[in-house]
Amino acid sequence: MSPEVTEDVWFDKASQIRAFEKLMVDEYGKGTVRGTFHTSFGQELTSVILAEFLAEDDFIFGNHRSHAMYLALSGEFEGLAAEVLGREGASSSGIGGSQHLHFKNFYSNGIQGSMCSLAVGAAKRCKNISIALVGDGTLGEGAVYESLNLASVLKSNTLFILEDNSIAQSTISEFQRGGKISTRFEAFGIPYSVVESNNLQELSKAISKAIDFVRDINGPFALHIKSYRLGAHSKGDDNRSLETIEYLMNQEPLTKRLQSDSRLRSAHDKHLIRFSELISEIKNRPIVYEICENYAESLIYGDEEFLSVAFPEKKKMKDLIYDGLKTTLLSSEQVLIIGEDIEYISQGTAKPYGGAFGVTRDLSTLFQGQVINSPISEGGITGLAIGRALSGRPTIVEIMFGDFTTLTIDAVIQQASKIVSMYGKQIPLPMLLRTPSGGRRGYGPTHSQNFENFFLGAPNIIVYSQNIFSSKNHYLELLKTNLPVMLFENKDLYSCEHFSAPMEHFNVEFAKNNNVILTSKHRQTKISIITYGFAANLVLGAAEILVKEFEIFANVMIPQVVSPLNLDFAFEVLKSSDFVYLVEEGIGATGLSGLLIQEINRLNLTLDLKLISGKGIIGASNASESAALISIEKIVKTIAARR
Amino acid sequence: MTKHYFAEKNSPSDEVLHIHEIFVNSGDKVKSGEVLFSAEGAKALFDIEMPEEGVVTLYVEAGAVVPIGAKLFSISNTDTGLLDQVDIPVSSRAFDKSSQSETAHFSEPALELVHRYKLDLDLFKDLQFVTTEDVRAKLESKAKKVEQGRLFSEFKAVALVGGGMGAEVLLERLKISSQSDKVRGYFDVNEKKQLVDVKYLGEPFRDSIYQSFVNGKFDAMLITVTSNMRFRREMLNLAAEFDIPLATFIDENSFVCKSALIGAGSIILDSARVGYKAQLGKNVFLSGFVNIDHHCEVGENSTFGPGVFFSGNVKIGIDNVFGSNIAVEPGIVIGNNCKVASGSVITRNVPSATVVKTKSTSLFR
Repeated sequence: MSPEVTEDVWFDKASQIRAFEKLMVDEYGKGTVRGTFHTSFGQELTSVILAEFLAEDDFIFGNHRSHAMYLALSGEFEGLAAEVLGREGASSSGIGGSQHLHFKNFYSNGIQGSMCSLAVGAAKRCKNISIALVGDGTLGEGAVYESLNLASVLKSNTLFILEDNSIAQSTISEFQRGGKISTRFEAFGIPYSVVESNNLQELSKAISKAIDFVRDINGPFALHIKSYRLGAHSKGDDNRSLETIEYLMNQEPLTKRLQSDSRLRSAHDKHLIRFSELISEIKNRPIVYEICENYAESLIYGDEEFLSVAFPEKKKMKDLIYDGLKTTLLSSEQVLIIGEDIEYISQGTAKPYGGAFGVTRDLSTLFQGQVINSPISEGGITGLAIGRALSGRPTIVEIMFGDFTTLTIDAVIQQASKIVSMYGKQIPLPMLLRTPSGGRRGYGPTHSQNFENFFLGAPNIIVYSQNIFSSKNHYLELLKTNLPVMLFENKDLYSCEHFSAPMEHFNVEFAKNNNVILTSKHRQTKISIITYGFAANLVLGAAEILVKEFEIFANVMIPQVVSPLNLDFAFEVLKSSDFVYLVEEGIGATGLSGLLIQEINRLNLTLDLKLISGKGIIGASNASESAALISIEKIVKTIAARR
Repeated sequence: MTKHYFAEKNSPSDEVLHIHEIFVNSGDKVKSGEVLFSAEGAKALFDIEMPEEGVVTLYVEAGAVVPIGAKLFSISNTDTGLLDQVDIPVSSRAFDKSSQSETAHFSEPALELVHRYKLDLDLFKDLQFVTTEDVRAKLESKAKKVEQGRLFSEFKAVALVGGGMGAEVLLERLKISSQSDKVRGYFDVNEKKQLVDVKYLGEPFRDSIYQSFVNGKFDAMLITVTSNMRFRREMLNLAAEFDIPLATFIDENSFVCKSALIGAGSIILDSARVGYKAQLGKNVFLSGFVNIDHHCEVGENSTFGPGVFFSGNVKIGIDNVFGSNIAVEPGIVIGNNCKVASGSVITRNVPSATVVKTKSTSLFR
């Protein structure tokens, strides 16, 4: 095809997108739709040309303004219209709306920055590439730079496309940006080129060159495309002067071509009529009633047993975790463990390391390339793991201290949790984040906290709290659920032997999914304790003292998965109880108590509840640490005092 | 971390320790090696020293007689001082205690009871886990067998244990029946001025009581302490152990049915009444105007203030303390170790170790 014919095709496709978006914005004007709609006016051609160079298996991660890219890739005008109008045939079942679109390997998300790290994760070391679409406004986000660093360090074949329309919502982005754009990428050793989008041949050449560079596995590349935002940020919030917009219109190729080329204009008019009819037809369709599903809840309340029952092994928990990770790595070469300082012998060092707590030990040597060190970049590597999981490869992230999971919250809550169900269907996400939490080591306020509570109730996320009765097989089994998992280990548990808790006063029973029920062996009792994680050790220690010194007998229940919480396994015991204590290491007010009350309501139980939990900031000194954390003494004291 | 320390044998024959003096107070920070107690076993006086530095919590008082195995004191590490005031003693032994020991399946309070009442551990070997409830059940079954002793008048020389008001009253009653000359003297922690005619025999140590008895200083004893239940129990155990007979005193102005059984060592003061087929265990103390009606069963070592009225068929366990002016309805069952406040009206069964305090019922509402 001659360049002219190719250009004609591009213009036709771009004019379709423009016609469609125009009509959709009109619908907002009429008040028939709700929410927001970020139009691609002025940037359609970039998407159309980019789509020309993409292969089937390439990954594309869009942002809030990605209609053009989505439409150029999928041609799903009908699906997008129905999505925005909330009618049958909606591409994301009416859940995603305008900003959250998915087609094959294309994903867009309305949160800025962290999609870049997903793109880095989705990139494979092969001919298939991964593309992150970033706007100029997003250059203020730290996640972008974590991603650039990761891409550079891992030589990931990711193409960063900066669509620079020079305005961020209502702010001229130049005034909110220090330094130059080019040096941002160059600083990370990422090759950079810049192109004006008003010259289509130049643009096409630049895109082709950039894609070829990445496709030939040369590492990441950054392409800066200077483009035009002709429309408002959202529907009608444009604060620029009419002159400015007019000036931009005179520069933008599609607008110019529509003025000069009558053939294109008539085709454009036809598209307008066609889409107008389509929209009228869709408006008469039934409303979609899909609601966003919580697949983790479905799993927990379902009949399937996804966690096997543990068998006692004469091993320290740390070694058990090592074995569990080994089993997982053996299950598939696709499995990757990434984390800070987890390699055994890392580049440029002399002595072995293998993790801050030595859990991964020599795994990096045994499984070359499957266990890798990362930069200090918790948010980045978590996003990377999500992207990698999206590409079908199970990924485990090690976060060195549970406290650092705050740095992953954007990736976990805005990406992992939502991606699983916000596109109106379940997206498999075999990703597991494991991290040691807990105090009693004098590490002080930022290295001692229990962080389960910050992820409790997060949709689609399985929060798993390891305890003395957990099995090594759970690592693999959790990845097989295809749901994002937050797996909390405990520093103090590492040195405990598996199953080594005082249990002589209990009948121990393992319920579905390795939920443990310890019922009082010698006497029936109306007192029950619900606890999880390392706190179970404390509770069992306290229970022993309560029996021996105070003649108080109690049942103990230890759920393996703490969110979503399913207490069906404990129903019989709770039904015959009057007093229930919830013992948790985290801060009680934001902890498991909420989920527990919800469960007790669901099970229609009337119970006298009392919370025993940690409080405040965990200090480093022995005294301030003890004051903030629960202990055997505190548990005994609380329960004995109530007698 | 809190560590607990228990009374240990100083010599092989020790079964109890007398704590004579205590040199520290609860809450004191004590250095390793400092003397905590001066204690006496069967053979010798010795010091109990602080095994390691820390804050000490005491579980005994000066003058106490404690069985081997009873908790003496605990030491909490000063590092955790901020954590809490140690008011509920919690041991850290739960994790490391060997389950092989023959007392492993006893709760600590149960074990303490077993020691206090000198029960045989074998009695409980069939139980998986023994609580105070189990021990009390065994005690109750033991208490039912009434050992009828001989009356005061049948002995020639009787020693009183306790020189308080109980002894004074008793001596007064003995004078009336011209038996006071049989009293050889009294044991008490110190000499009492009011007991002018009676000889002071010394402090009530096991050895001194036993030696006096073996040397023929007296041929029976009578426990006249009424308020210190623990001490009454100690003395009762001592009498049983060394086969020292307990004299039974029934005042001539009391009313005791012929069919009633009165346990050895019991004291029934004037105007008290024991009804048809009623049973008193050993060492029961009835003040004036107490009425134990027909078919009642009273466990050993219980004490009654004046005006306690038991209706028929009331059954009570051992070591119970009744104040004055108490009414108990027919057929009521009361456990062991209860304390009933004066003026209470008991209309329901009372489980062991309960403190009972009721408002008196009124006819009009």
